[in-house]
Amino acid sequence: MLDLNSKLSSLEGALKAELSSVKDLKSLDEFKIKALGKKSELYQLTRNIGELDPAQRKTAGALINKLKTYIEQNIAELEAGLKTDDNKNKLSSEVLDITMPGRVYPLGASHPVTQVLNELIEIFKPLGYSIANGPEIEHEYYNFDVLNIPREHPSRDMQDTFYIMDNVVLRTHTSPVQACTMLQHTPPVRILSPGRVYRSDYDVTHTPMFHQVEGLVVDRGIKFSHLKGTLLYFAKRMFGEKTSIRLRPSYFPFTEPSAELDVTCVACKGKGCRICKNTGWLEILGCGMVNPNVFKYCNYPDDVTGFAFGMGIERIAMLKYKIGDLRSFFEGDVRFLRQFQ
Amino acid sequence: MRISLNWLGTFLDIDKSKASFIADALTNRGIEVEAIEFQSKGLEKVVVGKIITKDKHPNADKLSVLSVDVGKETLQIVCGASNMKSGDKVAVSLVGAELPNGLVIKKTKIRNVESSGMCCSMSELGLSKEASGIIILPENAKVGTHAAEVLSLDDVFITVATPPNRGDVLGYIGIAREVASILEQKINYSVTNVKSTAKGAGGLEVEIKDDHCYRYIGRLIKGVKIKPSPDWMIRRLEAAGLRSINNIVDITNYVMLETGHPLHAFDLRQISGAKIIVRHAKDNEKIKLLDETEKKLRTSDMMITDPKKVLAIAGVMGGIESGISDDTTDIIIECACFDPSSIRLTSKFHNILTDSSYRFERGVDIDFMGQVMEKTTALYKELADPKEIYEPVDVITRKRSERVVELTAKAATDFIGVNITDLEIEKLLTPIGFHVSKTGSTLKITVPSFRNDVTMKADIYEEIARLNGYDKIPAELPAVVISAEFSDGTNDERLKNNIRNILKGFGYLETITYSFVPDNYHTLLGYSDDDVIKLKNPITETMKIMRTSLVTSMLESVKYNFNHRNMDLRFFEIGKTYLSRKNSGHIPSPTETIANEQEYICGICTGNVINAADWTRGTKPENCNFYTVKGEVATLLAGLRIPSFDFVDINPGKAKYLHPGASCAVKCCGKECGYIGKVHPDLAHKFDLGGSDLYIFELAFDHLKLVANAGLSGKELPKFPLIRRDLSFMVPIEVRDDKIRSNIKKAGAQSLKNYGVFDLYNGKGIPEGQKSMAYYFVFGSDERTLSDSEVDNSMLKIIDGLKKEFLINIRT
Repeated sequence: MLDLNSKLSSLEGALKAELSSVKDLKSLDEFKIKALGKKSELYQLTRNIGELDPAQRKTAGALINKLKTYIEQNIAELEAGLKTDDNKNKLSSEVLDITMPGRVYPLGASHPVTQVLNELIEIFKPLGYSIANGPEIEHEYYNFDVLNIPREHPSRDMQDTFYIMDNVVLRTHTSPVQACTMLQHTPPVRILSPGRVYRSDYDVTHTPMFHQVEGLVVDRGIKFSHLKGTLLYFAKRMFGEKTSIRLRPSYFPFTEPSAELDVTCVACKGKGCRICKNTGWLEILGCGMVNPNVFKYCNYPDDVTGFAFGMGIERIAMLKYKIGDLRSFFEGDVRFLRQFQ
Repeated sequence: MRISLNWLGTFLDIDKSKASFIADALTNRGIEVEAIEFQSKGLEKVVVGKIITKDKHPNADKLSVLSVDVGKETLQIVCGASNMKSGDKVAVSLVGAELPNGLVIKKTKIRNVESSGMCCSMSELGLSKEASGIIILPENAKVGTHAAEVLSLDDVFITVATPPNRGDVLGYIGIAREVASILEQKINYSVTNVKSTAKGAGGLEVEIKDDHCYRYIGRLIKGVKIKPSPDWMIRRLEAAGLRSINNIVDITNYVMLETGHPLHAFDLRQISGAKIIVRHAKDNEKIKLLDETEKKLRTSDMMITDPKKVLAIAGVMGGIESGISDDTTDIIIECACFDPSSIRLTSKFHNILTDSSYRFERGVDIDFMGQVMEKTTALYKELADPKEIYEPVDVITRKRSERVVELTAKAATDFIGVNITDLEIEKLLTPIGFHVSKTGSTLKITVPSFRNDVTMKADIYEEIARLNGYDKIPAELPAVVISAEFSDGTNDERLKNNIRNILKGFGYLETITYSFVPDNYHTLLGYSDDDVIKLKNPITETMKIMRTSLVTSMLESVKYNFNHRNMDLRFFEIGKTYLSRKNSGHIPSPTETIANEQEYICGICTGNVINAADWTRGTKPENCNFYTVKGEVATLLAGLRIPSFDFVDINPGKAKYLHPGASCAVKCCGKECGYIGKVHPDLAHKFDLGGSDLYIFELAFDHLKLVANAGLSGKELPKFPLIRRDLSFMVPIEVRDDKIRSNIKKAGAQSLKNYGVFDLYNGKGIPEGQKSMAYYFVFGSDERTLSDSEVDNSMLKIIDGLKKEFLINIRT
């Protein structure tokens, strides 16, 4: 017992001396292992208790534990002090110039035409529209005849057409997709057909290629008022809740009745400005009830009705993003494209 | 068509101050008004003045110095004209006037003599193109009043754009009908028959041999006097943009503008036997037209002829020989009705568009022709002093059958979505010439003869809707119908957006370029002329051929950007390429696919890939290279959830636009579907880009969409720690990574989970012909923690394998 007592008191002295030389958290961690870990003297003593007389075991255990608790307390005190010092150190030495720029990664961008198209898809998707695609090199038959635009009718002149062969054209609108969809599917039909279209016209406001989105809804009981409701919903979602619409009678061979849609001018909110030529309105798209002749071509029963609408995506993008020159869409200048991150 | 409200006002009561109301109402009815012009605009400061004295200009022979009384004051005005004398009343532009031609009048000195105003000519007031001298106003004009009033320059012009189906509004009568229904008036247009002065047709015969001519009225008038038309007629013609020629020709144009029905006048002397024959052209027949061009005719062209020769292309343009000349005395007036399609095809083929063909194409009113002829004859009688007017010859080959459309108010209500009654329908349609009668609930609607465009119910619905006002239609959404059937396009669009978003993260900008390219680009890429699709009518030299690849489009964009000093570039396009299906020129039927249209994703990059001014990375730029692009493509494919992909050697002969030593093919799920590489220096030079390192990738969207979006499944995470070992060695420089990797795989080391290269060095300290490579190896077991000796054994196996195949030198 005496033996243990002297052992413990010399151990206590040694540990205290060592602890006093600990100056940082890292050496404190090392000290913890050395003083209390599985290889420590203290641990060895604990393990050796079993070898003592049963009568002495209790006293010995208490003595060892006392020292252990004492050391642990010392460590905890020291640790608290060191942590406070360390925190202070860090706070004073790690001061940054937070006005320096961070590491910025070059972010790309979708083309403004893509962004408007995506927005259109998001607007019409909840109404049950799905997307239909078709070829850009198209038979005259699908581009014109099926859509009630016979060769001998002046309505052919409404679009300047690129020809590949006598009866093959670059589609002048995405309407052939609608016709082909109707030829392949029975009603009801609810589609959006986006894509590139071509017209041989090239000046400040026309490029020989541009993008269109057309919508088609065919079912029993579809009315002109449904077209108007759909367009009002579209205009509000696309240009803002306060947007109003106005339909004006027009003529398209594939719709009857036909209309053009005006929306409240996006620039002046209807007050009248240079962009809307002081009318307060902007022409956005053409639309109408599907001409029964088109249904005939598509072998649809004569009790279905439907509506269609079509718009130029660039036109919408120009209005939404205040882009002045149509040609800039296709020049590929990265300074132009980067604006649309 | 430019409409004079003064002229229009002869058919109904028009308040010109309400011009913009009328214009808006027309627009809201589908006849779009593009412009309103007030004739008096710019003439507010032009007043009547009286010349008090006229003196010679002291410093110029041709100029006069006038003193002019303009009411409030007397002005000194220098004038260059010579047709005035003192006492004349003239139109004086006061200082500050801004005339219709843009001229602003200022106080000025002309050859040292002060001039405060200007005496105006007709052209300066926008009245006429030609001007000889200043306007001398009538004696009774009151000094100081507006000259516009004295000259009756009070007209208002509205320019209307008529839709291609509305032939009936290509004349004043048609516009008047619409305006009358807007103003709730009736039009006042009556034509009284002109009494013939001679019995019979005067020997005129008409024969129709081409059934595309439905009706032909000819009339012989003898002894006409050719002279200028009266001012009022000239003004009305000029308002519509027509030039006055002489009274005989002007009258045909005037009646055409009024009624919308084209007319023609022939000189009787040039017509053999006074006989008109309407027939097909003969093969190789030719005609010299009024505009002095000569046309070779086709047998499908309808001609006006006499027994010996052709006189005119029917409905399109007259021949020069049979036209009216200064010494014409006897004329034949033609008022005819032709098949619109026939006129259109001829006009298109010969590329002649005239006021006449424009109207015939859009349809004329066959039942109104008699009145048109009478109106014309009446004007000849009034303005050409004829000696004899003969009776008209009227030949009809096809009578118009009356068109009746039957419908119910309920059907109209259901179609338009606005409640409409029988009575309302009648009230809307009757004023514009329709006749509505009722049997039970069915309405019988008789279409007037001038409305060739109305043939079916939908047309009547349109009339009802537009006359009732589109603004009265409620806005309602149809019930949502979801159909699973058409989802292909929707999925494609979603995948494209995934691609865009991933590439966007690497800094790529999306671009869209034209689908057509110059006619040599395909040869640069190794395509032949047979492979491509050519435009028959390209708009410019640079847009002649549908592109066979996006590569040239990308190079062109790089060039454009370099020219604009944008040097660090990363952009991509998703677009189609077009290849001919080589159907050897035969005209494809509508069921045949015409071209191979394939969609590609093509990206290009050059220069610095990081922010050029990034202090966190130091100042050294990081230029893109083959491996940066390859890594981006690999990340893209992984991000698209393509279950397996690989980069392999390009098959000989393929992708020649790439540098053969710095390019590879991309395989997705076993199928080759794209390329990555450095642009071949040859091609770069062709685009003047030889000085730059350009890296490009292209991927076939049509394949990616078949293999992308593999299903996801979560796996349990490893329970036991993984152990990593690295191995560095020198190998001959020609030993490729793929060989080393397959060798490692072959070694079959136990518990090897993952491995790959992490360093390559062949700089200082490495012998010539050698390179130093470092690979990592990750080991692990699902059952237990591996022991060091197990891993050591595996590594030995790997090293043995490598040593057997390559001359390698393990570095420690």
